[in-house]
Amino acid sequence: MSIEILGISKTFSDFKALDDVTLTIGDGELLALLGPSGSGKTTLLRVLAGLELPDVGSVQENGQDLTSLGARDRNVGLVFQHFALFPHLDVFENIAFSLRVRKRPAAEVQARVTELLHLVQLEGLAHRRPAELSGGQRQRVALARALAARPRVLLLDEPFSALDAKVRHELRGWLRRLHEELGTTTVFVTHDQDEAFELADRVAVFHRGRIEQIGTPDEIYDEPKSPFVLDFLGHVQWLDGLAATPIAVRHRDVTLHATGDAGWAARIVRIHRTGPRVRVDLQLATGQALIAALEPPAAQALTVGQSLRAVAERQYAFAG
Amino acid sequence: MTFSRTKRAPAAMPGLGLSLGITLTWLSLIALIPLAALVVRAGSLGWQGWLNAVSGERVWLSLRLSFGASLIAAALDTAAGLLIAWVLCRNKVPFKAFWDVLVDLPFALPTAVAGIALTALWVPDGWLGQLVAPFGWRIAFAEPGVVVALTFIGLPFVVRTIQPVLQSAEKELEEAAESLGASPAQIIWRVVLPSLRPALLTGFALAFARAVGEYGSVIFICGNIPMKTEITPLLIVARLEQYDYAGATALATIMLGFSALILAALQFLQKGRRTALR
Amino acid sequence: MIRIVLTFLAMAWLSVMVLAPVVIVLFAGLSAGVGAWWSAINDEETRTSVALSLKIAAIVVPCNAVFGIAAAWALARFRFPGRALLLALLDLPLSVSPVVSGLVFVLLFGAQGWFGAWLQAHDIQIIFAIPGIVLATAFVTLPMVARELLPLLESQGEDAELAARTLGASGWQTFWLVSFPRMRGALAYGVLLCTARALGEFGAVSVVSGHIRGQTDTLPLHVEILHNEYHFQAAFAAASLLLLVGVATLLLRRLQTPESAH
Repeated sequence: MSIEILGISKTFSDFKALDDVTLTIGDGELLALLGPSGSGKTTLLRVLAGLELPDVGSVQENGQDLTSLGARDRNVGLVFQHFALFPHLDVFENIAFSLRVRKRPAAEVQARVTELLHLVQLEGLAHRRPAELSGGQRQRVALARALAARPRVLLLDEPFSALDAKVRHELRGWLRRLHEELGTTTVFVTHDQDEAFELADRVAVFHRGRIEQIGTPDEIYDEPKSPFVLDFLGHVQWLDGLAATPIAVRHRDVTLHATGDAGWAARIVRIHRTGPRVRVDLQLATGQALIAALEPPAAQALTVGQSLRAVAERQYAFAG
Repeated sequence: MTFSRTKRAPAAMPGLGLSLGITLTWLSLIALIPLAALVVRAGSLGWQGWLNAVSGERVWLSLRLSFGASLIAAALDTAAGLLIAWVLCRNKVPFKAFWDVLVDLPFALPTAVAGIALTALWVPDGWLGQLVAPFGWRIAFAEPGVVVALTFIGLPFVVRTIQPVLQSAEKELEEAAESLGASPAQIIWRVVLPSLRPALLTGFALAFARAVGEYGSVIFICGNIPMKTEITPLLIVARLEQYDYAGATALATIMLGFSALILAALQFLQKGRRTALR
Repeated sequence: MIRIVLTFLAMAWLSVMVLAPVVIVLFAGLSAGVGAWWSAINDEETRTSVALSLKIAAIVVPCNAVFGIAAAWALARFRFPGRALLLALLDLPLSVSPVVSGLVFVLLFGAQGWFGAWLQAHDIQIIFAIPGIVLATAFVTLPMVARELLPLLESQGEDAELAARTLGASGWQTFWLVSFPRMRGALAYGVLLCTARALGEFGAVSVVSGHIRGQTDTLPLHVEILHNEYHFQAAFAAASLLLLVGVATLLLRRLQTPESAH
């Protein structure tokens, strides 16, 4: 079951949230919509959920048009950024909600909710209220609730942004395993490229209501198609005046050599440790600043003030 | 008595003595001492005297009318207020700002003005009175008139209590319910109403409290018929006019006790609401 | 579809229950033309009652404004034993029946009141005179300024004042240079609300005033007198003045908090 998004545009008063977006989501795929806030990724998620009607374009599933189908009838599982758990219902009833409104027999509800509680590892908490749960637990209840009616697609809006860093990491791995287990087609929105790259089969990078690039994490990382994508992935330095057009060099692609005449003449301005790598601030003989992110052994012999050659193992330039 | 400031170097924040002094002095002079006088005066009646003053059919009928009509009015306000708050928060409404201002109008309109306006509307040959007269319904100068006036003054209390709650988080909950397959009616019954329950109760209590004590907007439309359309505040005034201070005082203590009770209930409700949010 | 029906129902309720009373005040006041409306307002007794109402407000509002600033300051900036009780007591005048608010002053100062005999001996009249109206009005409008200021002061926090103190400002300097400028908007609105309520109060004033024409009838009481004497057009003309004051406060609130105009 693949879902096709065809030429969708959506404008809010005078803000163009989506601008002619076309995208195919494969069956069982885990797709990340990545971009800064206001880039349109959440709007696209809401269009998929049936909460927003696009101005132009359609959403189709195996050739069947879903565009005008309301959220109620679309049977998608949606997990909200702040979870939107029903505060007056306990965990069990939150998860059971979609079955209750479909008037399923009590025995079936009981069985399905029990199964889901087991899946999200919350068996002991069935009768807690959302207010009594931790952030990670709420997130898992929200996920179980979205899955209860066996949705055709699972949609997650910034699923980890409301959690603290440690829980976020645990849940990422858990979500990846869950997806492998269930195989439900899943689309999630994030502004965090680490999250997108770690979880997703494919990543769509959004910029100003358009898809800037779509591909596997490797494709996006190795072959960024635009300055925006390269910049958004971060840890990159732009150098003017060395070539006809500005060139970009990733910090980790810079190597330093005491001898030889490859690359550019440079002088070390500052050395400091940042997490697993050592960051070396350089000034080129031609005046530009450059940053190298080295493995600690490679940085051991360096001293501030030292003159050497900086080589960009890989550089990017974009025409026009 | 010494006052302790929390975890702060002494006298960092100026003016506790002066501001508290002004506050307590003026509050005592204008409100506390007069209210205490009422209680002391009622106490001097003695238990039997107090009981005599608040028994009798006329008192009973007035209390029944005051509390009964207020209950009905507060219930109507709660239903209508919920609807209006929901429509204003969630739907596209032409001239929304206009309707929004209109909601507050009963707050801002002096009660005497409300009273004569409602009377003129609901007398049998008034704009609205003539619409219901063919059904044999009498609004002005009858008990329904009391309910109409009390409903008028209570409405903003309910709307203004519900609106912020509706505005804050509920839209996402409604969307969640919709994407989980709930129909509009199911969304209202299973999600909107339960999550609004504390706010609805608070709004109801506020409207009820205001209605029980109301005087100005009722006395014109009710017709002041003793034993029939005489609300308790009106009976207090009637007793005062006959220099029956003891009788008026005794009734006033019932009203005051009720106000204190509602204030306490509201404090309790708000505390519950704050912990529920955590 | 169901949304349209519900929207229509809400609008219908507001129109019948709230809009219609407003419209009829204007309609009935102007029913005999603008000239009649104006002559009803320009009538000697109406003018006297307007003057009395303004005079009462001019006495009451400044007192309650000073009280409001002091109470909001004490309650927002300090924690002390009995603070919660004080907060609750502050709301009491708004939840007590206006009739009771008037009655308490009759019990204190009326002919049979505690101080009645003493006042009579010294020929001082409070009840059925202006001082009684002032007291009753002060009672019912007591917390109105404080309630506007209190949430503002609490949300502002005390950092600015503490900063001023560390920079060497005295207590009064801190208040006048730092606190007061930041509360001006809310204070102005509180004063406006307090004034509107003082001009419009009916129940409490009605109990203490004695309805002496030309002497103790405020504008709302005058509306009642005109109405009871079947001068309906004149009653509504006078009422339209009070209506305008009420509508003005509502519109000014919108200007003051534009973000609430979602």
